[in-house]
Amino acid sequence: MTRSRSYQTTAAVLRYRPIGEADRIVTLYTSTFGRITAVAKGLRRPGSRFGGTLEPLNLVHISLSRGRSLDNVNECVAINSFVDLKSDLGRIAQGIYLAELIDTFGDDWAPNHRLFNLLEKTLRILNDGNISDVLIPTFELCLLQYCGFRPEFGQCVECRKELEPGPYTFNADSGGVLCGSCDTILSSSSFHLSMDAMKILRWIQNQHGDIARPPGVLFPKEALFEVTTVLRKYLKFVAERDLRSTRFLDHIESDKK
Amino acid sequence: MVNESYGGTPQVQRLVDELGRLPGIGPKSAQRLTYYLIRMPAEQAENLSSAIVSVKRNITFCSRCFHITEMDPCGICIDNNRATGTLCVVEQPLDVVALEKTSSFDGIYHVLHGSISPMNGIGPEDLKIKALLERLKLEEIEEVILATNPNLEGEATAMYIHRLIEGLGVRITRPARGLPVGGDIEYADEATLGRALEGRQQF
Repeated sequence: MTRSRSYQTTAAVLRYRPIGEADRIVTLYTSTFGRITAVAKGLRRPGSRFGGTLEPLNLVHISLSRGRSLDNVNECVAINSFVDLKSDLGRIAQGIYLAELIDTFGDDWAPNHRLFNLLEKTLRILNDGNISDVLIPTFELCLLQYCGFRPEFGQCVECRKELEPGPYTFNADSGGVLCGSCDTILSSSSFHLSMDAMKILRWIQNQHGDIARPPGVLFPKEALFEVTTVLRKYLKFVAERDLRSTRFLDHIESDKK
Repeated sequence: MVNESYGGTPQVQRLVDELGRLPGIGPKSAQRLTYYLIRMPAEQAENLSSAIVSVKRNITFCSRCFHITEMDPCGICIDNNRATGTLCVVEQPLDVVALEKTSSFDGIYHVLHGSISPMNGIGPEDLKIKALLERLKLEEIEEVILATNPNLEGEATAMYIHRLIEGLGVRITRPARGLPVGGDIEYADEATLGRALEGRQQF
């Protein structure tokens, strides 16, 4: 995508890292350009003109200019700092996990409006505090779909036959559930799914990305744990690496129990 | 790979490579530093190299507070004139240096050596948090000041430690947040301004 010498966009700040004495390299997910990385000069100084606007998970309006290797942040105004989200450790852990997912699956200079809107909506829900048990799995399934990795739970992913009642085998390589006939090869990328877990996954997919809609039912904890486990394994398989923030997320979630 | 057109010999290239490993020093900076060192008087260069060797040989981390020190425990921990009932928790040894420069704090310190940074794979178990809990059991600490950085990672670290120690009967405080001296209200973000207003004081 061509861009002019200076440009503006709405963005969610994913992460940053220090560079030089007082600068930071900031990674953003933008509504217009997909993932971009830019230098914010002087960001680490107390009197920085960016203030606290470039903190991770902030939604900002940002203007940048093209640089030789990395672009430069010129101005940044916070649209939403999600203050309530950041006042709760559990929600911070969830927000950082979402940011890592977007950072992993988002592409540089490849806009994906659905992905941006998904992140923005979910951060708002986390900030409002009205968090259902299926918020994170819903985000994960939507992300997979919007990035072209939608897993198939409705029928056998290989032969397209309707599935007999479970338990089931989910095969990451094939990207979906296999029927008894197709599930012939033992594979390290195959994971078992109970009927209850399958029901939850199908229910989520049938919401068609409506991440704000509460389920209205209480899902069994064991099935939810299974859903989380299978989705994490699939995400790891597709990303070809571990998602580091899950360690802290699990630590905080286990402290809650 | 040695580039002879830059006057590079294996020793020069080796120094360029070693300097280039330092944080914030890219290849160009490493080259500039190398050629500066070549032109530097021999005595000055030897002083620099012996200072580096001396630091690596003689500097360690205080076994109590994990600040950098030449003796263990460090000068702050063994100083009887310090207010040992007030413990300031910071992320890095440089934070101790900065706080000591203010001459406004006469308590003791605990250095975590980082902050919780989930995306970088740094969790509570990678920091000196367990050691902090041990100190709170053994020492007579009345107040813990959670002086981690005022950013998302620093706040997450402070919240996590707060969760762990809130039942121990110590007073838990956090340095004030607000507008920096020399800053402009116009450029302050909503979170900073909000906190600054909350913490306003009689003028």
